[in-house]
Amino acid sequence: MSKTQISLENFFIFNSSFGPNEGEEEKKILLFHPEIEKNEKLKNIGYIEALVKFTGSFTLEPTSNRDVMTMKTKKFTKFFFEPEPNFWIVMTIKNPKEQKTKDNREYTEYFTDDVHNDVFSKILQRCYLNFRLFCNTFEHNMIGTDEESQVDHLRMKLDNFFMKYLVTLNLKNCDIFDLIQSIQYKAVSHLTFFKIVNLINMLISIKNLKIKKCIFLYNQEVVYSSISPDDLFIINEYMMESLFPKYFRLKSNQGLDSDRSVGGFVTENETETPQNAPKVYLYGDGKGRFECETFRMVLYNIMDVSLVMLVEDDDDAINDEFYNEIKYSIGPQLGLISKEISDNIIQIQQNVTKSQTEESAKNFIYCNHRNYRFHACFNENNTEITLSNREGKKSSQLSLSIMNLLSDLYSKDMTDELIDSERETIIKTFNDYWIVKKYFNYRSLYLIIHKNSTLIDVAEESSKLLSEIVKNVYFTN
Amino acid sequence: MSDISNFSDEEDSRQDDCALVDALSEINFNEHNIDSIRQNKLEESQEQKHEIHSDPASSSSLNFVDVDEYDYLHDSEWINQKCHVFILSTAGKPIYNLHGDEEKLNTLFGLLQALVSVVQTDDDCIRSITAKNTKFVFLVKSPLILVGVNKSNRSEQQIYNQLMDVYNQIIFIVTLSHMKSVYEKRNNYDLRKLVAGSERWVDHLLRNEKRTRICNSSFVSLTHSVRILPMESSIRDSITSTIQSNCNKIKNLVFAVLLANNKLITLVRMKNYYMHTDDLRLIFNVIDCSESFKSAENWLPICLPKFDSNGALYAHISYISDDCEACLLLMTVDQESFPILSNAKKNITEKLRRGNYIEAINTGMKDKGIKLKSDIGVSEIRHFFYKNKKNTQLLCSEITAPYIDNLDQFEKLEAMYYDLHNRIHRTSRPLKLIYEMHQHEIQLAWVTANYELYATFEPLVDKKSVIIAQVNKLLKWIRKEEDKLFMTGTHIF
Repeated sequence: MSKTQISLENFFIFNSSFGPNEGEEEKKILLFHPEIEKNEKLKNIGYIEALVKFTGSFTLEPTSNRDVMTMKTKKFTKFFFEPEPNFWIVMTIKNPKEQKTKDNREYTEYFTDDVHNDVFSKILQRCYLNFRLFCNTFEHNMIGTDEESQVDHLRMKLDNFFMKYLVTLNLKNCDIFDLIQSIQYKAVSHLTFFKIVNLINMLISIKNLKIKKCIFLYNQEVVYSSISPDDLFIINEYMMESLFPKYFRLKSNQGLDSDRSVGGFVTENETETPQNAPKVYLYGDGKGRFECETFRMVLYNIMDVSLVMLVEDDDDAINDEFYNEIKYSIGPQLGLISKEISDNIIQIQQNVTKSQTEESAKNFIYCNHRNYRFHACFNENNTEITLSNREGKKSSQLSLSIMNLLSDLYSKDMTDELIDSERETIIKTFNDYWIVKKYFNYRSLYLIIHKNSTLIDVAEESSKLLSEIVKNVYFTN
Repeated sequence: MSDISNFSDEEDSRQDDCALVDALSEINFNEHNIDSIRQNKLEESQEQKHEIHSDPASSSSLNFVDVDEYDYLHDSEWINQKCHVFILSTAGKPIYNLHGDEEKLNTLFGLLQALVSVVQTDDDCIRSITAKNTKFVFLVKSPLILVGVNKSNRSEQQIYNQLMDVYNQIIFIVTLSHMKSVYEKRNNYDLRKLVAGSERWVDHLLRNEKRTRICNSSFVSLTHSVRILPMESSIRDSITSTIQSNCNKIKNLVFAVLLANNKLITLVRMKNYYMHTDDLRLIFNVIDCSESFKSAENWLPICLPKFDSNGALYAHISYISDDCEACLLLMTVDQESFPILSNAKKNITEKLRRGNYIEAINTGMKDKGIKLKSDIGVSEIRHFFYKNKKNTQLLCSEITAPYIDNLDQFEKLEAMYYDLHNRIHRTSRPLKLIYEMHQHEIQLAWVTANYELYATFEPLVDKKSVIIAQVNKLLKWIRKEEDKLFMTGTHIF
């Protein structure tokens, strides 16, 4: 039997204050997936309560709502955190295992270390942030006349959301890309950029449309956004992982993907009307300001351009007028911009191919810690990895241990102070991969080189590649 | 251990162990001489029997003793300790607490026991918990549970290894078979009765966790190796043969170890029996923390866990002379051979004095580590340690500026080395090499089939060719001086 992959054992949410008395423990359970016997659920919850109590004895600081705790056993890794007071979310992951034989005796080897703490901590935090984006906080969902009906309402909301969301969690493919929490930006020429900003300002100024904020994407990469990076990341993830794939599948099923110049509203269902556009709750970067802003999120797509519009949360805001204005007035302008960008890109690509005649295969990740800008290329043909296409690619490319090493290096960057000075790390793995990490001016570059080489050669090669990559990332995109 | 048959009769050996271990604690506290130990031994063994058969209720009543349990858990100084180590029995009985009285932490021990046993019911085993900057690591080795709580940057594996050392130090005192049989008889037995007086060996093992000292000793435990007292190989050979010639007629003598200043001078062993470095490190620890050994000859039952966790050896421990602080251990399976070993030691001392070897040992003891600039002539290396993998021996350079007189700086250096060591040895993704440029230094870790090198460089040598050249010069020098710096070859009686 070969090694099993990382998978989900269970996922549950509880609040101890809902069932403080003996015999009422069941009331603590807000969500438990998969469905198991009640006592087993309570045992799981009781265990987390004990862990929290135990670890709390060794710290004077109160837990922050961003700290994810981890518990490793031989078979499982548990991740748990308290996003809101007394509400705990727990995710249990099965450690990979392999059946082996030694001296004619069968035994199971567990690979506890394969489950990267930081990567899956991020995944758990994202589960909560996704819920909050579409449903608001747990506390806000306590709607009803008495506590029992309030909790029931929350249970229903959690159930509705997570039963769909958990299916989309692809735990076996989680890696450094999830850790970086990156957003792919697309740089465009100054002129085009100003056109986009002008168009968006114009849209926001039309009082009747009630549009408050916008995100402009080209080819699913962010060109312009007027919301905080944290909110942008979580909206972006929703679009990449869920909305766009569904939309394009739908379009191609309907045979509509041939004529890309016809724009349309991107929705989760077949209707094209944005009337039931989802509500979203934005909390900004969580630093200082903690007021929630509520919007309706409408997405319009034409050619390679997508425009996310955050509209005032008003039942009448998205009406026929809105629909017509976007479709017949704004849509064609977006189409023109799309064409302008694509023409520009063809021109750049011609220049780039000229300058990159004899480059060796390179695998790299580049990220800017200040604006979440990120750029990766993980392939012998130098094709770029984007968040939407990475799934199929990497499994065949780099082993789990390399991906985990990258995550280690990235985590170290995050724990070390982000300072202005330069840092460099070069490591050589057991199977002779070299990984070079360069940190400079709040930016990191991770480079993976697979060849038998010396430290000096690798250092030279990485310096050369660094200047090329930085040049390309800065000036040609 | 088949031909060392003294312990084949389990019943006998168990009683012996009981008695001897108690006797052992007496030695530590009261510095009894050999005769009185023998006297005590008889009395103690009777007491011990009585103990085992006494009413279990008397012991379990400890659970209900009214103690002020919340003292520690509300004491910010205690909470903020960078390292805690707790030992308890699988039944939840407190055995050890690094900082303070374990008796006052009954609630905490109960919780620990519950955390372990609940997971065990699912045929699983708890390994660790990470909460923010604190790691909690569990070592469950029935009938004991050891828990390390650590707020420094130690990795889970490093904390686990430390707990393993502590566990072995306890086996060193009580032997595994004896401990198991005691718990089989009485599930809630209070092991502190058996280890009484020897907790300070565990304390000493963890002394760096209480307070960092600016010295190379933590790198010895980090790399699981021992350091060697440097001396010309011809002198070392002569010392070795002095021991051999005086001991090779003694039956049942298993090991002879000569050490000074926490460094090994020589080791002679019985054919086909090997001394594991982990066992040797436990011996070093016990010698280092027992001042009382200096004043008299000592006769100690010990268990070397890697050698045989179920059997005890008898160790004759004494210092060479008043003017030479080298300690000689002669380890036998023969309980009655104290006079013979005592005699052998006298002869060895005499011969060492006659050959002027005492002076050589004293010179070696002054050594503080390799001097990078004057010994080797490498100016860009600030500090290094080098592990010879074949014989698990460690070579360290002298600690100099900016680390020698600055505890903060040294702690940072130590933390960086621990980090390097963790990353290069991580089981799921081991590495061959790490080169790292920090703000204040450059570090290199390099693991090959034969050695591991960890080195710290001046921050301004940003040319990798300079670093490689310096490393090559260092390695070349070590190879040249190998005979003097390491103990090569094996010596048998």
